[in-house]
Amino acid sequence: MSQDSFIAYRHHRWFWITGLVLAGLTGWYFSEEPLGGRNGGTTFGYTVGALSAILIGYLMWFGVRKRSYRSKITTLQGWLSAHVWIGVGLAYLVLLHSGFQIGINVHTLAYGLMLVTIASGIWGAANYRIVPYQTPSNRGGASLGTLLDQIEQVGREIAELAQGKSPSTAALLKKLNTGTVPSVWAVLLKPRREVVLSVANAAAAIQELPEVEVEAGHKLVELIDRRLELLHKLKREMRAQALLKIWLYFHIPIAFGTVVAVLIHIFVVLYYRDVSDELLNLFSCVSCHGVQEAGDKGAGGI
Amino acid sequence: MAGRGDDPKLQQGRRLLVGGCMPCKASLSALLCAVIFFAFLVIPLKGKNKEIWSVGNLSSQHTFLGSDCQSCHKEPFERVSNASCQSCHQLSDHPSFHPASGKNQDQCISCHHEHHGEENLKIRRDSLCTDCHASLSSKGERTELRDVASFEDHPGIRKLSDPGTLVFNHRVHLKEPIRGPEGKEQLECSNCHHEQNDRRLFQEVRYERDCARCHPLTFDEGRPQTIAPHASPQEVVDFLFGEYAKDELFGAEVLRGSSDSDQGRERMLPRHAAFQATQEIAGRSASSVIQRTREAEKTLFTKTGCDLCHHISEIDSEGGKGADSAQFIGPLETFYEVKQPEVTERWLTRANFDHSPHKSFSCDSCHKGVETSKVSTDVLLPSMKECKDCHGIKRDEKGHGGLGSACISCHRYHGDGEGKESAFETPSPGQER
Ligand code: HEM
Ligand code: HEM
Repeated sequence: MSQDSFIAYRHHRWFWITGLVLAGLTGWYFSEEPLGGRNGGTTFGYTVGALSAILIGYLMWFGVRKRSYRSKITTLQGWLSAHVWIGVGLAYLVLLHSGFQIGINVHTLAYGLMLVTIASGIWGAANYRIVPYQTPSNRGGASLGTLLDQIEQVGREIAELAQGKSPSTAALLKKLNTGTVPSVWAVLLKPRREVVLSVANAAAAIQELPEVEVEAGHKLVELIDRRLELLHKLKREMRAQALLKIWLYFHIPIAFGTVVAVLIHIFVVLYYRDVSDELLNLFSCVSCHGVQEAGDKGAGGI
Repeated sequence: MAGRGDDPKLQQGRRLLVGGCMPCKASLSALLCAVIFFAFLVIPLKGKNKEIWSVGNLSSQHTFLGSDCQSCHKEPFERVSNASCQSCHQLSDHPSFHPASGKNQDQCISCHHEHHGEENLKIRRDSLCTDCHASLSSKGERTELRDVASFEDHPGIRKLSDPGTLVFNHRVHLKEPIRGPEGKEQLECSNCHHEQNDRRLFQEVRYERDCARCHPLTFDEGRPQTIAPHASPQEVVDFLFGEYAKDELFGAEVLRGSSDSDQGRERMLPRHAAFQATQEIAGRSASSVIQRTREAEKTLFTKTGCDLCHHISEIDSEGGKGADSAQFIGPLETFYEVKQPEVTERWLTRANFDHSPHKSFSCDSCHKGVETSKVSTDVLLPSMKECKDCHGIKRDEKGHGGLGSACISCHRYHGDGEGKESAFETPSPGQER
């Protein structure tokens, strides 16, 4: 339920806000046909570019906001909801800004990095929904640590039990005690590979044991089975945890990369323009209406 | 054996998943930021790989500039100046701009945007004009110009009047077959109006080519073969005088009806003979030559020749016509003055009209009323209606349907490079020809 709520927060409030703003800006976009074509350098372009930059700053602020526990959790959910929908909206907003022009240049690099950030964000958000809410992972790293401890414990018991036994017991261990703690990549990339204890193999291995060790052998198989089960749990747990966290290894660094690229973008476009002139154009009526010179022939500004 | 092979992975698992790993994300972030910063800011700033900053290719006309940004972008944080453009493009020192262009708009780059494709470098869109002209009135403009939102609203062409330095009657020439040198014939426009080489416009009508066949400059019924030159009045009088002097010298019979070869011989009168002739004329009948010259002059200028097409006036010379006397020997001065004809090649100089694409139409499908025009003050330009019949249909967004009727195809933005004249001043018949 509440897992969904950062998407559907208060009846999709942020979805609608973003959508309406984008629709309005689209209307403005098509209502003008500026000389030189629609691009980031028109009044509209500057406005939407600045808006995009501010919104990116706002999304980045989420990293700070997230760590501030003073405020109530519901507000954080609101923030996340806004973050998700504004983030998705930016993919379109920046295209409006650039007049749908992209190329092979720093400017498009900024946009490209932003798209990757957004994609990773969507991946992350999707993971939040896929990963079952009621898993122990909810309890964060605690359960994972416990599992790892338990595996270690069982491992130790197995080792103790096998101590000073015949080579046949060693062979049994070698044959049956195969599962290992998987790497993070392994759980992410090959989630379905699982080691299970084969009953037939176990029976066969026990038959090989000398009479005195059979009882211990049964005990060992039990322990191995328990260990494999623990490993299996660990894998599921790891996968859940990884899915919930790994995307952030893309989302955060690339988000920062986007910010640097955007700053370079702004620097470069101003490098080739007269900043004061552009601002004058942007904030005054002069850009369209001209300045009426004294003694003008009557055909002055628009 | 305990936890065989597990330990390192346990470590990894703990590191990545259990404790979180902000330092790791932070260092990844820092690394990525640093790479971007150097590759896309520091290195280009040093002049290498600067194309990565470009927002788009140059249009084909400018590709030769390659990646030399500085050929246009002279200073950082400054826009491309007119001087940059004018180092190649020779608009006059004071290119004129649309009168409504406000501050900043006298910059080339206010309208000519590079890096965004050719259509933005040379704008042909109507909105260039109609953004303002569609609603001048509602913007409270002090102007007499009408609101024009599209070619459909285009005002008519002003009624022009030819200053009338020639006399011509189209009706007489075209209405019905007319007497020519070899009997009756029906004239057509192309008998007198010839295309220019590029076929955009028509050449000036020229007497020798277009009029002389039917209107030869004969001046004496007694010598129907002799034709005066189409030249200045003084040259004409000199010619007449020469003719009658020769008559006097060799006897009119020799000249009259003489063959071409005879004339050729006589034209090359040896010098001493000419001298002798003068002496003899002086002695014998100067006054007769003068008198006949004057008669022929009068006939030519006021009855059969010049005045047919030209405005002729008599000169009030000092002493009047009586100044000629028997004693006077020497060049005779003309009594007549011809108003210098001015033939207009192009009436609407701002309208960049081209006849060639319109070739398949007959002249009178646009130039109405030619057959009924009696005076040369008529300027028989088509009315806007004729243009709109074909060009007034709107094109759709994709440019289909209708015919091209972009404002720019007739109106030019910049002056013609001659001083500060504004490109958009409404032409008036006096100054515009
Ligand atoms: C204050 C903020 C911004 C300003 C002042 C700004 C300014 C500009 C200007 C002037 C242009 C037009 C360059 C030209 O075509 O001549 C432009 C284009 C562009 N901008 Fe921005 N911008 C801003 C923010 C952003 C942001 C946040 C992004 C994306 C993350 C972005 C992405 C682009 C892209 C992709 C183009 C098109 C480049 C091309 O034509 O290839 N801009 N911007
Ligand atoms: C330009 C776009 C975006 C930027 C710059 C951006 C940036 C960030 C930043 C800086 C964080 C804080 C991470 C942390 O410090 O732990 C964050 C978190 C997050 N972002 Fe984005 N983001 C963007 C788009 C998106 C989109 C489109 C989505 C989802 C569709 C999204 C989903 C998330 C989620 C779910 C979190 C919270 C992760 C957590 O639980 O800690 N982001 N984002």
